[in-house]
Amino acid sequence: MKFAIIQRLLLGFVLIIAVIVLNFFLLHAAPGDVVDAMLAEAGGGDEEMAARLRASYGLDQPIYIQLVKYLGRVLTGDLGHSFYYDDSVTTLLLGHLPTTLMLTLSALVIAVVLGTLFGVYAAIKPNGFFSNFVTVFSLFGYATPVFWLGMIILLAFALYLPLFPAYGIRSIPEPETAIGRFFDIINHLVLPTFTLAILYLANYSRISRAAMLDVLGADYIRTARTKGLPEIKVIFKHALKNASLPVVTLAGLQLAQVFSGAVLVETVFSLPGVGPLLYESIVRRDFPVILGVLFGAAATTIVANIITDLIYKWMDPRIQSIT
Amino acid sequence: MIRNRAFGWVCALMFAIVATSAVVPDAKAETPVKGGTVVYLSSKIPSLNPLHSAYEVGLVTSQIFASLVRMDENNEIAPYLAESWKISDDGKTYTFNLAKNAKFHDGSPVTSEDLAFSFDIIQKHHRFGKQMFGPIESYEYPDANTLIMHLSKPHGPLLLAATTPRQLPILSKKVYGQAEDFMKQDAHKNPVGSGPFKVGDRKTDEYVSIVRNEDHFVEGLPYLDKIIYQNVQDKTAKRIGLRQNQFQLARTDSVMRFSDIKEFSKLEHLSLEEYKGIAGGAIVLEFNNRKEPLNNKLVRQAIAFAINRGQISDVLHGGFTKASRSPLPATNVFFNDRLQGYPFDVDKANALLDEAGYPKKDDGTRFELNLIFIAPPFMPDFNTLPSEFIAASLKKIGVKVKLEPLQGFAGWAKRSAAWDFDMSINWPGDKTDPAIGVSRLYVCDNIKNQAYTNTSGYCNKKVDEIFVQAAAEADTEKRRQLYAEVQDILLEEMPMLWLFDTPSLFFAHKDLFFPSYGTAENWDVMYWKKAQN
Repeated sequence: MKFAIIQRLLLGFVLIIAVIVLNFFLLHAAPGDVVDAMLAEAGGGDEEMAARLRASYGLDQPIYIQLVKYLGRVLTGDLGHSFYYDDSVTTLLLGHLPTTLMLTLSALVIAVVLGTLFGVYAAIKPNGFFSNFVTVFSLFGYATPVFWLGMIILLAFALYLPLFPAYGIRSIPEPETAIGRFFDIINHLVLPTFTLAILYLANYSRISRAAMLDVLGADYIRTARTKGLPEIKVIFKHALKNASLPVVTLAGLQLAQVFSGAVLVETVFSLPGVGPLLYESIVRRDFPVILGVLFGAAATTIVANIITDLIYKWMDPRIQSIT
Repeated sequence: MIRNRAFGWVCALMFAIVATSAVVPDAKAETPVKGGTVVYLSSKIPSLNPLHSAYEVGLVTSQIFASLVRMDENNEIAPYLAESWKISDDGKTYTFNLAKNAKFHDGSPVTSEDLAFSFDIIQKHHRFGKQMFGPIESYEYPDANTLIMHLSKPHGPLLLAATTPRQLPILSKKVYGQAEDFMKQDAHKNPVGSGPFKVGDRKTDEYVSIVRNEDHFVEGLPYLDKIIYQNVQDKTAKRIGLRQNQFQLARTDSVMRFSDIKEFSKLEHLSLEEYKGIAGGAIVLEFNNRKEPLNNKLVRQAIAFAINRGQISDVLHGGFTKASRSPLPATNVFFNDRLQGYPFDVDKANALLDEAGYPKKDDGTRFELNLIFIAPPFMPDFNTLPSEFIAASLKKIGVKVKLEPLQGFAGWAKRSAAWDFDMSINWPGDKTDPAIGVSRLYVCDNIKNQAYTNTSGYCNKKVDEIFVQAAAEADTEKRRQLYAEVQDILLEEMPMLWLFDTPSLFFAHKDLFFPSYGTAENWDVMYWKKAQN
C-alpha cells in the first residue's frame, strides 16, 4: 500500500513535468508577450526600453533555454517572478490560495452533504412533491451559467435585500477583534459559497438519488428490513453507504478543481482568489503566474485522486489496492 | 411622560441640527473640510512601482510621489517641489530651487542629488524617458536645495513633462539607489516619496490605502485623511457599491458604458465630473500608409469624409465624447483652435475615390480593407462600437471592411507592431506634450516594429523637420506656431483619421470637491465640502 502511494506520487511527478512542458509551449504560442501587453497598456514606449525589459525578464532568449531554466527553478521550489505583480509567484499563490480554498472547500462540503440528503429523500419517495422538486432544482442548477446565477444572487441579496456585501473578502476597516474578523470573512463568503454550492449540489442530488433508487431495490436491503432494523438505519447505514460510491467519485473529481475551479464565482464576487489572478495573468501574458497556477492545479489533481482512492478503499473493502 | 418630553426635545434638537446643516453648506460652500476618507473604485493595483504600466497604479503613486512642478487651476505651470526655477536665455541651462522643508516619508530631506538621481532613473527606465529628458547632460549641485542642469540642446517639453508624478516622480536616492535594476526591487512594495500621502496598508488584489503625510511641504495640504483604492472586478458589484455610496469616486468607464451614464447620473448622492486638464487622448483610425490603396492620399481623405464622426460622439456615445478636430486632442496646450476636422460628405468621398482610380465595380464595391481592434469586453465604446460604425459607413462608398477583433492589448499590439493591418483602431494619448506623445506617431525615424510608434509608416521630411524644431524650441509661443503648422499638414495628408477625443469622466459624491484641472491626479486638493459621518 505504501509502495503503491509512492508509485502514484512518482507517476504524478512525471505527469507534472509533462504538464509544465506542454503549458509552456502552449503559452508561447499565444500572440504577444508581457512586454507587449505592458507597453500597450501604458500607451507605448521606445524600442530600447522594450528590449531592456525583455532582457531583464529573460524573454530575449530562445524558448528552449527559457524552458530549461524554468524547469530548473521549479525543481528547486522557485516558481519564478511575476512581471506584472513585481512579486514572487510562490508568494502570490500562497496569498491567493486561502480565499479560494475557503470558498471551494466549504461549497463542496455543503453541496455533498445537502445534495446527498436531498437525493436520499427524493429516492425514498420517488414520486412525491419533494422528489420532483429535487429533479427540477437539479436541472436548474445544472443548466444555469454560473456568472448569471452569481449576478442574480448579487442583485437579490446585496442590492434589493442588502443582507450581504457585494464584493471582497473583508470590510475596510477590519473589525478589531479576531472573532469579529472571523465573522466578517464568513459574512463576505456566504453569497459566493452558496452560488458555487448550488451549482455543485445539482450533481450530487441527481447522482445520489439514482444510486439510492438502485440500491433500495437490492436483496440485502430487503434482508435488513426483514431483520426488523429501524428504517432510518436501513437507509443510512446499509443503503447509503453503498449508494455513496458515485458521490465519492464525483467529489474526488471536484476536489481536484478546488485550486482553480472557481474563476467565475471569484470574479463575480471580486474575491482575491486564484481565479482572478489566473485571468488577469492570461490577459497580461504574465507567463510565470499562469504556469504557477497550472502547476498548482495539476498537483492538486494528483493529490485529490490519491485521496479519493483511499476513501474508496475505506468505504468499500472489496476494492483491494489503490493501484 | 418625562421620557416622552425628553424624546420631544431630542427630536426638536435634531430637527434644528438638520435644518442648520442644510442651510450652512450653501452659505460657505467652498470652505474645505479638513479630514475625511474617500473610497475610490479601482481595478487591480498589482504593484506600487511609480513606473508600472497599469493606469490605477499611477493614481496611487501620484499621491505618494511629488512631481517637480505642477499645473494650477488655469492649467499654467506652477511651483511645487521646485519653489522657483530659471531657464537660461539659450535654453540650455535650468536652475531649480527646491522647497527647503520638503522631506521624504522616511524623514530625510529632498535634496538636489535626489532630483538629479530621479532625472537619471526616469531617463533610463520610463517609457518616454528619452523624449522627456533625453538632452540632459550634466548636473551641478551648488547646495543641497539647488540643482543646475545642463542640456545638450534646448528642449521644449522638459517643464511640461515634469508636471506629473506619472512622468517625473521624485525618488529618494537613499531608498531607490541600492538596487541593480530599478524595475525589480523590494522598495516598490513599500514606496517612499515626498508627496501628500503615505502608504497605509495594502492587500494584493483587494485594496491599497494611503494616509495623509503630516509633514507635507505644502502647508495645509492634503485635505483628506485617507484614500482607499478598493478593487472590484464585477460590473454588477461595482454598480451596487456605487448605489450604496460605498465608493465616493469612480471612473465612469470602469463601471459602465456611455449609454448607461445618464441613468446613473440621476442618483441623488452622485455628480458627474469631467476632468478638464491637459493630458488627453483620442481614438484614431490608423491607416497603413504603405499598402495599396491606402498609400493614396485621396483614398485616406475619402474615408475621412465618409465617416460621420459627429454621429459616433453625439448619438452612439450620448454626447460624452467629441469629434476630433485636429491631430491633437482639444485639451492639449498646443491644440489649434481654428481647425474643424473633416466634415461628413459622402458625395465628396465617392468623387475622391473615383478620382483616385478606384471606380465602383459591378457589385457596387471598390476594394476591401481589414480593420483590427481589441475585442470586447475591453472598452467596447472605444473599440467594437466605432469599428462597426466605420464598417457600415464605408460600405456606403463601396469599401468593404473585414472586422478583425483581437484578444487583449497583447493580441492587438502584436499585429500593430508587425504592421499587419490595413486599418487599426488605436488609442495613443498625447502624454502632455506633443514632443512626447504625438511626434512619435508621425516622424520617419520612429517607423518601428512596436505598437504606438509610427506603425502607419507615414513619412514626410517637412513634418519631421517641424517636429524636431518644435521640440528644441524653448519659447512656448514659437512652439505653438510650429505645432499649428504641423497640424495643418497632417490634417491635409491624413495619415490617420482622428475619430473622437476621449473624455475623463468621474462619478464623485456630490459633497466632494473634485479637482478637474491639471493632470487628473492632484488629489491633495480634493476635499469634502461638508463633513461626512
